[in-house]
Amino acid sequence: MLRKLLKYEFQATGRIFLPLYLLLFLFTVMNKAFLSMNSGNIGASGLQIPTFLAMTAYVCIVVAIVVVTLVATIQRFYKNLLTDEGYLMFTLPVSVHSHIFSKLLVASVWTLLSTIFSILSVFILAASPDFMNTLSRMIQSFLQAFGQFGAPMYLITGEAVVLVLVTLAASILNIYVSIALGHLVKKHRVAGALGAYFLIGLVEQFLFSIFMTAAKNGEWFRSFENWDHTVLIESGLAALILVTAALGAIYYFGTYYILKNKLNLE
Amino acid sequence: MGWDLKSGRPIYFQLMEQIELRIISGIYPPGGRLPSVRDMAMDASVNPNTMQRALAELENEGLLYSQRTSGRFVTEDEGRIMEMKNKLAKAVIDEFMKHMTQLGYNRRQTIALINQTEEENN
Amino acid sequence: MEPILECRNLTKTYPGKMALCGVSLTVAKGRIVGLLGPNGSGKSTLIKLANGLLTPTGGELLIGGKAPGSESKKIVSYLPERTYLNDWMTVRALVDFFADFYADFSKEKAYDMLQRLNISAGSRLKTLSKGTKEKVQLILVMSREASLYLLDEPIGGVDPAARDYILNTIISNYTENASVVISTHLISDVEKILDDVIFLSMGTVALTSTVDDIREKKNKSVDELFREVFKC
Repeated sequence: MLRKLLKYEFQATGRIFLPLYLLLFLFTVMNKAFLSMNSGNIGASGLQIPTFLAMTAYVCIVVAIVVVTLVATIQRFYKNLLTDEGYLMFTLPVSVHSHIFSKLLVASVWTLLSTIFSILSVFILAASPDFMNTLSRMIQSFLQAFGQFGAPMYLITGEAVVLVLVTLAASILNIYVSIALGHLVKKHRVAGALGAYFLIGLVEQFLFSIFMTAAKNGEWFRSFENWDHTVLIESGLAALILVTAALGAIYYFGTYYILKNKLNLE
Repeated sequence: MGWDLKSGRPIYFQLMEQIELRIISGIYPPGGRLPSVRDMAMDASVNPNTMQRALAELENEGLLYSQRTSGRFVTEDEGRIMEMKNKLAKAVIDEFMKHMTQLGYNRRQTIALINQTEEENN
Repeated sequence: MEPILECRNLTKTYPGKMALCGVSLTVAKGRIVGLLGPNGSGKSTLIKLANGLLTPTGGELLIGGKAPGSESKKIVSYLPERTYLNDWMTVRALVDFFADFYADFSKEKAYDMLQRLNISAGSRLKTLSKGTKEKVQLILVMSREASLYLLDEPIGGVDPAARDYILNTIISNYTENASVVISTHLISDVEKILDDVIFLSMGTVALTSTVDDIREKKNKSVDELFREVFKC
């Protein structure tokens, strides 16, 4: 059942994202062509206006992708589950877990793809012999670090990747639980959602500042200074992963509880 | 012939009458096979359970019989059908006579009026 | 035999409003039941509860002996009052969607009905008129072999010919193993196809009876009785 939900979720969202990605590709190529024709000197070939237009179009597309990714994440959840379409979705023989998880997974995939494609496209535009040199030197020093530190580098890199993914999931779940909380406020659902989002943000900030104060004043924090740096980074990342995962779990179960027990479609 | 169902009286009862009329008029001839309950229900736009009840009652009265695998049939007993026809006709007459009495005609006057009307029409 | 739908002292309250109060009723298999009542009497709430779209505040609601959940949704086919299908999808895509999620969905039946109504499978829902959209929804719902069909105002806002078509579709779908609950306030149109009726008034059951009983014992049609019971 989950697989079927994923299929439909991708179908519904793909028709928005794939054309955008295609446009991104086209504009990247177009701009690349113009750049190489001008060889870095705008106006050299007399194609000022087209070059300018192409660059504007490119910037628009990148901005559009960023905006659309965020809006789609919100819209898919809100529109598909909490408006009229909810009558269809919630009478399907699937669990609430499947609903949340399928939306979360698909939103994560698109966010990752949007980020990767945008970065790639910038790389392509920026690619020049100088740039490639700098890049290869960076990669080399990175690999050197691996050689120097050995195994811990793999662990740290792995942790960093996990942290990125967990943060991604947690932020999406943050949005979902805000929308779900907004759903509880019968007449002001949008305001309720925004309010919930800011409130959660405030609570997160508050907890963070408590932690920082404890860190500054606490004896126990100083003891960390004696730790081996590598272990420190590894544990720090691990702690961050755990905290973010815990937040994500709280947001997930909050969303689940509201959708299962407090659903009230108009 | 449409299905004329009015309010106030049980639907199954009215269905029985309408089926009887169809037997008399030859739409469901003696010995003939009736359509399925579902088809008849759809035709009359009624609940199949209601149609089933009407048919069961008519079976009880001997106007229909069912053979398990072949379906429902109208009786071949012409006498029985005649009996039913007479019953319906009598009901019409009773109703007619009631109206005529309301209008102030007695039995003799009513029959005279019928004959007179017949002659005028010919 | 176990009833397909049973409510035991079912209550649903919202802040400041009691939608259903102590409702107890049963729907046996193979019955076509009318859920009748004025606007705000709790009909939609009851149907949403049966669908698992709402959770009871008190009492219980059982579908085939169990509380609403993924299992009950497999055997319940629901036609809501509003259009709830994705506008951008084509009719064909929707048929595939239903076939994917519901094991008891029959594509042949759906395409047969669509064809008879001259609805092209390739059209996007967005391009269809409101009446046609509603027919599509009905076809999708009735193409399932569910144990319980919940139809919320299936003939409201449709022309008389379409009304006849819808009622005939309900009759032709009838089996002894399935029940249909029709919630409506257009009683005279629907009365002939009903076995039983339940009158709901302000969240409580005002009356339950078979249609035959009302006609035999009270010498009225259900429509007439309704007007009496709910006189303003």
